[in-house]
Amino acid sequence: MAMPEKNLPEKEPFDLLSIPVVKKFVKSKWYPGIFQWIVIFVFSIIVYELVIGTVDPSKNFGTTMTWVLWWPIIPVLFLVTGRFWCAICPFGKLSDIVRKFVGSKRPMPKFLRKYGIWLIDLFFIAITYSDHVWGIVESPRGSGYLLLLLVTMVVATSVFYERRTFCKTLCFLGGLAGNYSRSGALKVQATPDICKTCKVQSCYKGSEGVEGCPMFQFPRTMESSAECNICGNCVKNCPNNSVKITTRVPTKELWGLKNPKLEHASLAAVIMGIVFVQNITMLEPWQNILSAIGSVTGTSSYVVNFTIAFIIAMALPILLLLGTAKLASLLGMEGSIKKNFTRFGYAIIPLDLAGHLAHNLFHIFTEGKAVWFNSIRLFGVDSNPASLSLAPTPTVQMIQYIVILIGLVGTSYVVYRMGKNKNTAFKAMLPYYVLMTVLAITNIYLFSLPMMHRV
Amino acid sequence: MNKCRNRLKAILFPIKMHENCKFAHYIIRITLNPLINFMEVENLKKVFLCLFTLAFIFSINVRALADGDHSKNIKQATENFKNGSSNDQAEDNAGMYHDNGSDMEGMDHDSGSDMEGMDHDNGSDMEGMDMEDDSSGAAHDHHAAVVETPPNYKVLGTYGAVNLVFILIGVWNKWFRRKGDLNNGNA
Repeated sequence: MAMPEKNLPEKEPFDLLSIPVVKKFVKSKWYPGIFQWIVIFVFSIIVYELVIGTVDPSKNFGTTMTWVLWWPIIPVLFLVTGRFWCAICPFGKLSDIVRKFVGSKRPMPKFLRKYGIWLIDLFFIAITYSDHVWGIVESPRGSGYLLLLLVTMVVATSVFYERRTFCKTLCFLGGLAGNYSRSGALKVQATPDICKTCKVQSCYKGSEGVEGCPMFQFPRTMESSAECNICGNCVKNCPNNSVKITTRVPTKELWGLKNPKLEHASLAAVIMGIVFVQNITMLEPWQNILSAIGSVTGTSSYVVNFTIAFIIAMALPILLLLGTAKLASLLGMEGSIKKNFTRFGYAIIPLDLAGHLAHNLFHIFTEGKAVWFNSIRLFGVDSNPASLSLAPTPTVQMIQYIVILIGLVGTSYVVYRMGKNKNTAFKAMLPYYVLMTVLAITNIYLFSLPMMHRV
Repeated sequence: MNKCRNRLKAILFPIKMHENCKFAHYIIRITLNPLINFMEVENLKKVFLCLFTLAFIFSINVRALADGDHSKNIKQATENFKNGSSNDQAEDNAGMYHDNGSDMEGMDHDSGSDMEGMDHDNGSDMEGMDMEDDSSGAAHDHHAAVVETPPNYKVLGTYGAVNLVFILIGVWNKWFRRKGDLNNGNA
């Protein structure tokens, strides 16, 4: 007799460490070291080029590698490999080196532990804002100084505090990385049955040769991938082979969160606003928007008018999400507005990811050849290509629309699963479906307009 | 009266104050929480009124404020773009407005996607345009002639010095202070 579907045991996720070669590699000292050293080598050249090389952004190797190549591919990396980038990030490696030689390894300050995620959100917003006001992306020197500022912050925190305090509580990319990695296809998890008999807990504490979890995580109780770098330290340290690196359906974590947090949900909504800002400032109507704001403020100062546009763009998705939460509760959704705002804020993440990716696809497709030409320029091969484009604009636009639609499907599915988990009626869920569709349509409309280049 | 005061208190001070980090908590309190509480209480009418006012303000046609003839170029660019203009057409357009040789020394970004027809030289460079003063928009000016400047060794030196100070603090901390402590039996 066939078993009813509900009673079927859940399919065991695929463990990458069940492949002997992968397991051997992850347990070896080459992982993630080999990637870290390659990245830190390229990073050094990038910083050198940014602060010493040409100030022409279209010819600067650092600018193209950072803003045309790295920034567009980072959301894809998070989606496919979770937070693996953070394991090989040059700032993280620098922190490891500084801690190893001169770190005093004090515990992380209470303030940072408690409010670190808010600081991350704040830094992310501040950097995006300052980019638009001072043009960091278009200025190689500006980008270089930003990287050096981050280097200084890494050195300062690593000298005083244990593990990767900077990555956990100060890195501007941390919030974005955490949120995107929740949608990621990789997850590190321990086997509770094995862990409950463990007395050494070396995954967290570390062993003689390998440091404990640099992100302050305890694999046995870790519920989220948001703060796991997949650095493999726990795999190396565990004497019982309890830790697995498994694959999962992207976005799966979002609808199963046991402890959703307001700061993460707010960041998800703010990122949507930032994607809007990034798009709008490169579009034709931007001048009209600035003029409209200028007519209200009575000033023609770019900084003042941009600041107002920026605040509106940040606040708009938050207000929309709040309004939707209110509407949903009027239509019979259980829980307070704050609770629903927090829970469904996570549902925007796939759309954030899609918006971020679609926006940057434009740059990588229409300016992508700059990566090659500026790389060979390092070896003295100077060229004046007729075009930097990898694909014609209509093709890029079509890909952007498809990416946004995939994001909308992901977001809608998360909303659906969140509603299903709580047995919420469709009527109460409807405002969320409408909101996500409106956000997706707005993105598609913005991508249909002509856009400026980055370099 | 007391009821009213308690309600107001609940709106203004929605979370219990933590023992430490009062400033950070204050920031959270004055931003998100009042907003959420504002939505909770029956103030929706005011919210909608605000939204309608904003919508009204931004629906006013202020295109007349744009810089004269320039908007025609943008409209033309938009039309070309939407019609999926060919590279040739685009290059023609680029030629129309980049004829002072400022278009990145032949690095024509496949003009089909390069805001065709836009005159970057008359202040129409959209991103980062400085409505106050053209001279300060160097970092934003995409296709303007680039003036090479030497590295700023003062800034680089400052970064180097600050990092060196931190490293020295680390060296002193790890190799002298701690070792001294160990020797004195204070480990």
